[in-house]
Amino acid sequence: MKGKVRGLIKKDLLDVLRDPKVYVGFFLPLLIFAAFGFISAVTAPPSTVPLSVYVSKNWSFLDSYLITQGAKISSSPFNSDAIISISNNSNFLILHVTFNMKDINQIYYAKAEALNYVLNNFQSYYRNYLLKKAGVADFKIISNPVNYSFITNINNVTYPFNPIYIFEMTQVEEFVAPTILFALCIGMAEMSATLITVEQEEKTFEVLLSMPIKRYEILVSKIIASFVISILSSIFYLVGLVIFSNEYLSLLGDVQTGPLVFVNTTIFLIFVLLLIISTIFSSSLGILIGLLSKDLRIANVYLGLITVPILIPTLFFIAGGSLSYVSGPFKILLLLLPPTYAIEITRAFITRYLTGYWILGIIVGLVETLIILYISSLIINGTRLRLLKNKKVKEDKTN
Amino acid sequence: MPLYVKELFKAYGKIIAVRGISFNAKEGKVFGLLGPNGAGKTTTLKIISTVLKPDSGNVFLNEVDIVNRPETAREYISYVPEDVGTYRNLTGYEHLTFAATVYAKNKEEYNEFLEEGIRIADLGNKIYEKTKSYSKGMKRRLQIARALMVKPRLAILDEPTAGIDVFHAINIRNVIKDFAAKNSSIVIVSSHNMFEVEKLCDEIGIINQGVLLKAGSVKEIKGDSQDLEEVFMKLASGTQLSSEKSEV
Ligand SMILES: Nc1ncnc2c1ncn2[C@@H]1O[C@H](COP(=O)(O)OP(=O)(O)OP(=O)(O)O)[C@@H](O)[C@H]1O
Ligand SMILES: [Mg+2]
Repeated sequence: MKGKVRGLIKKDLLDVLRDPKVYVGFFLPLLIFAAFGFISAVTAPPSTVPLSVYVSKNWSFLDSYLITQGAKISSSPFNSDAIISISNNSNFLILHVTFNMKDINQIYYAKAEALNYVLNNFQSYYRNYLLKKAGVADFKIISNPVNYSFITNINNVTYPFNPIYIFEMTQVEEFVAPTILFALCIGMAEMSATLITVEQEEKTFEVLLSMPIKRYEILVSKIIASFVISILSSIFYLVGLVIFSNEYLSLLGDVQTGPLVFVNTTIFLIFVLLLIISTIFSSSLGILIGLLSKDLRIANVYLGLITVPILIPTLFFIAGGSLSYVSGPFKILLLLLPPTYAIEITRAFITRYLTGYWILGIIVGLVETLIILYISSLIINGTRLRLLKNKKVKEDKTN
Repeated sequence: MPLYVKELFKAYGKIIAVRGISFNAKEGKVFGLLGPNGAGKTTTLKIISTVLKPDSGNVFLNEVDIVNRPETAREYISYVPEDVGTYRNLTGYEHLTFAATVYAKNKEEYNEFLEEGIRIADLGNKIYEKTKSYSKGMKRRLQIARALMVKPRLAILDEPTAGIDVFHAINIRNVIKDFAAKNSSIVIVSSHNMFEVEKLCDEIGIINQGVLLKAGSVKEIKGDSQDLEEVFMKLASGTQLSSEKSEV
């Protein structure tokens, strides 16, 4: 019994481990960890951020408090991070706080946190002041002498919330949308790869290659079949997103939205376009993988590897990264990955502001898909060319 | 339209699978490539069916240059690879309609091909079921029907009866013979079954280790020997054999 089990295990291990290509898959966690570490570092909020506050009514008490807390008092409401105006209501102090941000990113997140921290501390600071100076005895007032009301402006879209609340909403939204997009893209790549690998395994691919069908016709039909499947799965993605968003993003209120309750129609349509481009890009990668693998196991190794380029933008945005706050080679890498754009635009569901990257996204996605398909066509033509050792044999010009 | 195969060479990396194979095959006849496992039969057939390019050598189907003008050649050929499978979730009928779409020039031809395909496959109502429910023999019949129904000038069948029981093997052999005679097409089959080759083929070529040892009609090859097995053993003596016991 023991011997049999050992025999079974040995057979499985040898069968898998003897193919050197399998080891390529072992590097996957290494790549993902490295990518994750790097992305976390890039997207980490800075340890200190400048916070500039404009106090609308000149009240040196608040000004000096803010200065002791490290904030900068700005002389104009423009270009300040927060605007505070003050009113009184039967001895309660009311601070109306308007927080301005141009983008959702880790810098503004740090500023919003800093602002909240400072304002929370102001509560006890003001209480002490009241007790010492005026000797106010009303327990109600003393326990909570300052009331706050918040407005958050993101590029002129106004939300009646504390910015922290917006960030928390964003974090969930930015986890859900990219994660499912990631799954969709990987699923598409897998489907397309399998479409070809199964034919290779069953040898029906050889039948196709011997038929009076042009090589590009074989390739194009695979792409169109994958494309149809992409569209089908994208529809389900979108329906799911609409359900999710109506349940969740509608908490943000009906601000400048179109017919779809939760998000501006233009943004949604551009998102649909970028989503389809991402899935087609993934399909084309899958086709390339299918052509490069003779069996499903090797196809799976390669599929594991291509999760990395799809994972990088996913992780980046989940971690709160923003294209406007990265630079250098990493930014170029992100800009070269078509899923980046589909994920980036989901942020506009909340900001309701188009950054303009989507135009680049369409171009990058289509160009790269074409390049991959061109490489695939070389491979499909070269199933024979590649094996062609004797250079004297003329190339087939009719292909 | 006879088939001329001239001085084919093909290596996979360091392994030279085919080293200078030449033979001719005539219209209306079945030509059998006979040889042990690893002799180079499949490699030769892949080259003839335009799936693989040879390192050197030529194949002509009459005046059509198969190696250098594969696109033209493909109009005239049909290929059934060794151990070919099917699309699991398509019915047998759908397999046939696909092939008919690829080869038919008009609607009449399409219908004609389909009818012929259904006749050759002879699967009864099973033809309308998904092929994942087919046995090995049914799948083979379907693939052979798919290949022959379009009346190719050249049909290339790699071990058409391997793993098929006697009853069905006879049936498949008859289909192949009929096809060649009726359409005066060339059929090339491979096998390592001496007995089968003798029954099925008009001409044979014996190959071993990538070399064609002898070609001609079954009679010529047999000469005074009792059976092909004996001939083969004589021809191959001195070369290491890895031939299996014949099936069927
Ligand atoms: N893809 C490949 N890569 C490397 N070597 C190969 C490949 N295909 C075949 N060979 C080698 O080429 C030689 C000829 O193989 P081939 O498949 O043509 O033989 P065959 O006559 O069809 O054998 P069988 O009766 O077993 O089908 C063998 O030595 C085989 O090991
Ligand atoms: Mg073979």
